[in-house]
Amino acid sequence: MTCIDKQKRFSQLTHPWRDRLYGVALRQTITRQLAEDWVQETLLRAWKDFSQLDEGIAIYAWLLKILDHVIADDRRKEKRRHQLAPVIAVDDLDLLSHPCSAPGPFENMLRQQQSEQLTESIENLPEEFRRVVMLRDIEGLSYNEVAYILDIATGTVMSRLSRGRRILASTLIKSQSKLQNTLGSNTCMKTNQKNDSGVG
Amino acid sequence: MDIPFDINTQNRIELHETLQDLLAGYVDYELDNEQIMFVEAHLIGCEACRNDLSRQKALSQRLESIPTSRMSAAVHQNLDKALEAVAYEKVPLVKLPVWLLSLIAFVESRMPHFSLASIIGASGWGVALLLSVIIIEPHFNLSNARQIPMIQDAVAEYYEMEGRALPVSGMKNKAAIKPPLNWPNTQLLSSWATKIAGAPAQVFALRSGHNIIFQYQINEAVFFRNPVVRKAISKNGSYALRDNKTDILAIPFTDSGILVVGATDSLPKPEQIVF
Repeated sequence: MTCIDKQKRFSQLTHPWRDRLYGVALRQTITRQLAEDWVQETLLRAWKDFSQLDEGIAIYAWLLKILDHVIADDRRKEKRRHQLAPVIAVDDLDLLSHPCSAPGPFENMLRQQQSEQLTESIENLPEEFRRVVMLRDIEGLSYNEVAYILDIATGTVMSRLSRGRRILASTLIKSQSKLQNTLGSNTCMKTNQKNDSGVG
Repeated sequence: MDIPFDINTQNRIELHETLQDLLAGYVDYELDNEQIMFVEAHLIGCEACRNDLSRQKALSQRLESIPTSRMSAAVHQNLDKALEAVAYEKVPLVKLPVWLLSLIAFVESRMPHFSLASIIGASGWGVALLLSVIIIEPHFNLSNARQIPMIQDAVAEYYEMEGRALPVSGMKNKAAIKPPLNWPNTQLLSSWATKIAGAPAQVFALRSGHNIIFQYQINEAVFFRNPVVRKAISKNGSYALRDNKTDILAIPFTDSGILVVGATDSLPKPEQIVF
């Protein structure tokens, strides 16, 4: 394959995914410039390793795996402290005691949340959960693809996803609770009452 | 006997704790039959897990709808330049910060004789990029089309419109309406808003020779939702299939996805398409 052919092939394969990579990068930093740098470094590394790309691997999963390494390397340089991952059980009392934790009200609350608010809550998840939730729920990858990108077993993807979603749900419910206390209203309670009376 | 009761209680607690890690897999259809059996048996008697399951489903669906962020055109150009430089190996494989590339772009704009491309002695990457957008390699798959909601909706509307007059309400300013994909000997007949896989979309009906071809410009999140489509686009730049007497071609566009639907062998050849 000539250099031009190789470039053509590389560009053809990677170009559709650039913005998606950027979206993933941006959800892991508050700086746009850093996200852009991560994408650039990802594409440069991808080009360098392009000849080693296995035909059987989906290009997007391959690029995400490189991006994941790029971000991990950068963070290692920053010597960030590892966050201890909390575990929240389904019967966590704080969670259960809030009216927004019931299925219907929770769904209504989610509908009212802006995408930016949700993204911010995901950014605040402990790293090991954040990556899994992001790759699965936002990027729509399969468990096998997430396992390949993060170098973990599919069972680990499943448990981290279960826990990550639970922490995220808990965070959203608690922030909703704070908001309601500030505003002096309880939209979840109202939703419950509506549901109970068959109005909503 | 009291002991078995304690053991059972202990087992139930352990099972309750263990199964919590499987709930995501249950929501996402990733469990095997045995695991499904355990989870479903547990769910019957555990309201906390049932509620958790509902929250996970709702959360997963809501997160799926978060739109993708985009880089500016300038950043895309800078990426092209960085890759161009590396491809020709005229500069060492180092990461140039984006701000530095922006500076170079600024200097280039002020000094026409200075250009990074001229320094590295080639414009091949830009040409390659252009070619890559033009060249598409369709690989026609023999159906399963109807399993992909966006294709199901597009094909259903295409068939439905066969027996109806094309809408004219959206064509008041016809000259200003441009279909996203163009090829020779086509004429725009009509355009209207529709919904594909639950998301707003725009249809462009074109006459191409003796055929009527529909282009659907659809939400990017919907377009990339199906893993089969994603994989095909990763490998070939497009996804193409044949469903009964219909050809369908899925091509990623700037900030959306395009589905082209027409009668068998009526779609343009990839090299004819102009973006």
